[in-house]
Amino acid sequence: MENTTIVAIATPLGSGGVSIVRMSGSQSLTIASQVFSCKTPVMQFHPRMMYLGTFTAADFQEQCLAVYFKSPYSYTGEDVIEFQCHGGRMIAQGIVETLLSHGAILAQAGEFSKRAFVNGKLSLDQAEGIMEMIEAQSQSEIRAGYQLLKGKLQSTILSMQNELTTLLASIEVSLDYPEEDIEEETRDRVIQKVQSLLSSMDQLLKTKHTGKIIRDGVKIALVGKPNTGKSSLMNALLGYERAIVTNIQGTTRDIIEEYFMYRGLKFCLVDTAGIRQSQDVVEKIGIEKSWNALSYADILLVVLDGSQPLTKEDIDVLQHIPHHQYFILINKNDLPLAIDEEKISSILSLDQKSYEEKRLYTSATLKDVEEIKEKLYQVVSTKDLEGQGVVLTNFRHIECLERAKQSLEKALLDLQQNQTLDIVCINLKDSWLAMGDVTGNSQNENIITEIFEKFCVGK
Amino acid sequence: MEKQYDVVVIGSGHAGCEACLASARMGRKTLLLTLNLDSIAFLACNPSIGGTAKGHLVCEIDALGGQMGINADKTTIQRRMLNASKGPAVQSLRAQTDKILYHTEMKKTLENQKNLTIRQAEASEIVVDDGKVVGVKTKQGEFYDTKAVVIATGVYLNSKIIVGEYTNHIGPNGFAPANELTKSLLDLGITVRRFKTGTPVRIHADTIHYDQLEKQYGEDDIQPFSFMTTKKPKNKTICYLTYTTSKTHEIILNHLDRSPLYNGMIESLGPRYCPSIETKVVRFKDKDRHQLFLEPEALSTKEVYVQGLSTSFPVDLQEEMVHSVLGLENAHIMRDAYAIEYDCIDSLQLDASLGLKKIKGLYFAGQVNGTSGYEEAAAQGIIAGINASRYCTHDTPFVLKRSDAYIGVLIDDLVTKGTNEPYRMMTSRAEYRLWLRQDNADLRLTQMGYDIGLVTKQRYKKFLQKQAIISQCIQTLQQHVGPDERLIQLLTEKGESLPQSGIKLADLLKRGTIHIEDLIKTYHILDEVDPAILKTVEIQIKYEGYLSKQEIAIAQAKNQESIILPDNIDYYAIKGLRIEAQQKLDLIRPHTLGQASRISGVSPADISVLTVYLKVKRNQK
Repeated sequence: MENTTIVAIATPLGSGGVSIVRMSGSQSLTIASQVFSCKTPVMQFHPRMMYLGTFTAADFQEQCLAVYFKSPYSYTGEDVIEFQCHGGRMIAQGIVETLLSHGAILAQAGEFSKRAFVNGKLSLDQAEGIMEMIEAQSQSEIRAGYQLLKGKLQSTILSMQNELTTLLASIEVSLDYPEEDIEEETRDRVIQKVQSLLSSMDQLLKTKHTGKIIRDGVKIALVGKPNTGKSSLMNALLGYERAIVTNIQGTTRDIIEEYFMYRGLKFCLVDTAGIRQSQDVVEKIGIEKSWNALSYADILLVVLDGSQPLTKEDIDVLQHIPHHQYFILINKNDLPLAIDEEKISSILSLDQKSYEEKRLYTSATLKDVEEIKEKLYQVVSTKDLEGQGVVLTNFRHIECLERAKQSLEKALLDLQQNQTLDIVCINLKDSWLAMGDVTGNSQNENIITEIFEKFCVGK
Repeated sequence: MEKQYDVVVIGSGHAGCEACLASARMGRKTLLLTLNLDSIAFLACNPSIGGTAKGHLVCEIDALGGQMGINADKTTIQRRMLNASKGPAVQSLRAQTDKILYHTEMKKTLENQKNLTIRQAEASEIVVDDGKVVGVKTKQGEFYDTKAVVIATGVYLNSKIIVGEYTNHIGPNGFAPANELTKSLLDLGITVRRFKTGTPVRIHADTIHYDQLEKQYGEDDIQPFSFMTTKKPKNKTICYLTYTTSKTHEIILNHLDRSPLYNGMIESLGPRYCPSIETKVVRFKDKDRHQLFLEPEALSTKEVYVQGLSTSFPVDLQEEMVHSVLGLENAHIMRDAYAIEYDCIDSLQLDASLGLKKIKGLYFAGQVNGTSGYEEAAAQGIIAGINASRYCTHDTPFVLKRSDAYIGVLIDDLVTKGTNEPYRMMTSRAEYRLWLRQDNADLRLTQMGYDIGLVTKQRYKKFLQKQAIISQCIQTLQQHVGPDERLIQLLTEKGESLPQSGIKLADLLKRGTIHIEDLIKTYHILDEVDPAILKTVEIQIKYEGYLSKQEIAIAQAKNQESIILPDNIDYYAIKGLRIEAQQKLDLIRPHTLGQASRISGVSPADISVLTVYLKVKRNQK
C-alpha cells in the first residue's frame, strides 16, 4: 500500500459549472476534517453519503459537497474524499492548494488510476492503457515543464540549486575529509548563505500569483445588482451567447465562468448572480457566491445601470469593493444617463481624475468591448507582468519549491540552535532534493563531483 | 590433498580473508587460493585501517562477525576519532596499524579456522558448466571441484607498475601478478576494464628531521573497532605532519613531460579522491603547499609511509621531490612510489549478492569490482563469502539495504550505478547517515549476522546484554525530576531556561547544552553503565526527531525495496517504458524496484509503469 495521500482536480479543466477535487489515501479523512466543516463531523461521515458544508481555504470559504468512499470501496481502493464545488477551476485550485498545505501531496500523472490498478480495482485489460497513459501524461508534463523551465526560470532554479550544491559540498568535504588542509565553512557563513538562498527563493515564490495569472487566466468578475446587464456584457466580451439574458431579475443564479484571450493573455470571465435581498433559496446561494467573487477576483467589473438612479443595492456593492483593481461600468449608455456619478466617486472616495480613470461608459458594443479589454490588459500588464522575467506557473514546481523552502528554514533553525553540521545537512539535503524534483538534478553523485572539483582532497 | 570444496576463494587480501572466514565459519568446506602466503592481509598502501566512512565499514564488518575490526584492534599502534566535534553521524575511528603484525595476526586466524584450507597457487581458470561454477584450475595443473567461487584478486590481474619510464608486469610490492585469470573471465563473457591506483614512497625514519615537524598524537579514551575488543588498544607511536614547498611544485611543473600521467603513458582511470601529487599541483595551482603525513609502517621497522606523496614520476625526480619537502631534506627513500594498472570487472554485471548475474555460483569482491580501499574490499568480502556459502545451502541471498549499513550503500552503488573510477566510501554517499553510525553498527547488524549463522553465540550474548542495558537506560531517563535545587543549579550552569514544573530526564537531554554526563553527575543515575553504551543512548534520545524522520523515509523506501523484479523480465516488451529506461533496465537488470529507481535514466513514471506491469504479471499467475 502507498502511504501518501494524493489530491488533484478530477474533472476536465476549463469548462463545467461543477468541479470535483479528489483526494485518496489513508490520511484523506483526517486532512478533510481540518478544512471542511459540516453538521456531521468529517470523521463520522458515512460512506457514499453527500454532505453539504463549508470548505475553508486560505482566501475564501466555499459551500460545497463532500462524499466519502471508504477503502476498499472507492475508485482507487483507498479511502477517498471528493469535494464537489462550484465555480470552475479557480475554486477547485484553491481547494487543492489548501489540501496540499494540510499534508496531501499532488497526484502524479495517472496516479489515481495506478493506485486503482495496484489495489485491484481495474481489470487486466485496462492495465496496458494505464501504463501508456502514465507515460503520455508524464511526457506532456515534461514537455510542459520543459517549456516553462526553458530560459530564465530554468536557470534561476538551477542556479539556486547549484548554490546549495556548492554549500553542501563545502560542508560535506569537511565531514568526509576532516584532516585535509582546507578552509572550513564557518557557521556564520553557512547561515549567511542559507539566508540569502531563502530570500531568493522567497522572491521566486512571490511570482506564484503572476504565474497563476498566466496559467489560469486573470480572474475578472462581473458584479452588480440584478438586471444591470452583466450577462449581456459577458456575452459581448466572449463574443458569443454564453449567459442567458432576459429582463427578469435574478436570471443568473449561479456563477458562470468562461475564458477569452486578448493580446496573448488569458482572461477568466466570471458572471455572477445579481446582488440583492432575495427570499429564493437557490438565488440566495448564488448571491453569496457573488459576494465571494468580490474577494477572489483579480479585477472587478462593477456594472451599474446608467439609465437608473443609484439604488441601495448599488451602494451596497460599491461599499464592498475590497481592493483597488476594479472598473465602474456605466452600462446601458444608449439610454439617457440618470445615475449620480458624484455620489459614486464619493462612496469610492475617489477624486474626479481617478474616478474617471476607473469609469467606462458602455452599451456592450464591439467598440466598448475592445476598450474594456484593453483597459484590463493594461492593468495586468503593468501591474503583474512587467519586469517579471521569471515566473512560476507550474503547480508542481510551486509545490516543490515550497517544500525546498520549508526544509531550508528548518536547516536555518538547526544552525541557529547550534546543531552540528551533519545534522544541518539532513534538512539541507532535503531542500536540495526538493529542488531536484524541478530541475531533474537529484543524483547525489553531483554533490560528490562538486567536492572533487572544488577541493584538493585525498592522500 | 582433498580436491572437493563448497567454496573456493581466490585471493588473500582484505576481501579474500573476510570471504573465506565467513564461508568457513558458516560451515562450508572452504579453500583459499593465494599467489603468495606472505601477502595474506597485506597492507599494500597506507598502514592504517578506518577513517571517515571506512571506520563505519569496519564496525559493520565486525557486527556481522567479520575479522577486520578485531585484527586492527590487535595490531593498532595509534588511533584517533576523526570528526569527534562534528556530530554523531560522522565520527569515524582511524587506526595506524603495525603492517607486519596485521599480516601475521590475520594469517594466524586463517590458519586456525575450522573448515578452511589455505593453499599457495595461482588460479588460472574458472570452470563453468551449464551456467554454473563447477571448479577452479590452477596454473600448477591442479583442479578443484567446487560449488561456488569468490574472486578477490585485488589489483593482481595483469598488473603493471609504472615508475616514470620504467614499467614492469608485477603486482604490488613486487609480488607476482596473476596473468591468466583475466583470459578465463573474458572467455566467460565477462566485461573487463582497466583501472589505476598508486602508492607513495617509503622513507627511512632515521633520515627524517623530526624536530621541524608537527607531532600527531593518538587518543586513548576512544572506542575500539570491535565490539569484542575489551581492552582499549594503546597508542605506541607518533605520526608527523609536514608540507610540500614551492620547490616541490616547481620540480613537478617543470617535469610534467616525464610524468606518465601527463605524457600519455597511463590512460586508465585513476581515482579522483586519491590523486597523485602531480595531479594535485597541476589542478590546484593556487594552493602553495600540500600537507603530507608521515606514518610509521610498523614498530619493528624504520620504514615510514609518506601519505600524500603518491606519484608515478621516475626515481630521480621522486628523490628530488622528497628532498624538497620540509624535514625530508636528507630523507633516504627505501621503496619507490609507483602507479599500478590492473584489470577489474564492470560491477554492473553483479547482483546485490555480489554474484555474477549470468553465472551461478561465481562471486566477486574487492578491488576487482572497481573499488578502492581495504575496508571497502573487506566489506564486499564478507558479503560475497556469506552469499557463496548460502548459495551452497540453497538459501536466499543475504542483501543489506542502503538503510541497513554503509555496506548496503556500497554494494547498491556498485550494482546499480556502477563506477568509472576506483570507488571510495564517503559518508556523503549515505542518505541515512544519522542512522548508520559506528556506535550502533551492532544494533543494526548483529541480529542479522546471528540469524545467518556467522555471529558466534558469545558475541550474540554480549549483544543481547547491550540491548537490555540500552532499554534500561532509556527507561531510567523517562523519569520526571522536580524543579528542585539540583535541576536549577544544572540549568543555570548551562545557561538553559528553567522549566515551570518538573521535567522528564530525556527531555532535559534533548536540550543542546545538556549531555548525559551532566545527568549522571547531577542525579547519580546510570553511573555504572559503559560510557560507549551511554553515548548510543544519548544520541538516540538527543536526535530522536531527526532519527524518526529518517525512519519514516526508510519505511517509505522499504516499499519499493521489497518489490522484486523477476530475472526474466523482457523490458523491451513493456509498453509505456521509455526507450532509455528499457535499455538501462535491460543492461543492469535490477533486483528490486528500489534499485531500478536509482538507475540514472529511469524516471518516476517508468517506475509507475513497472509497478503496474508487475501487478499484471502477478494477476496472470
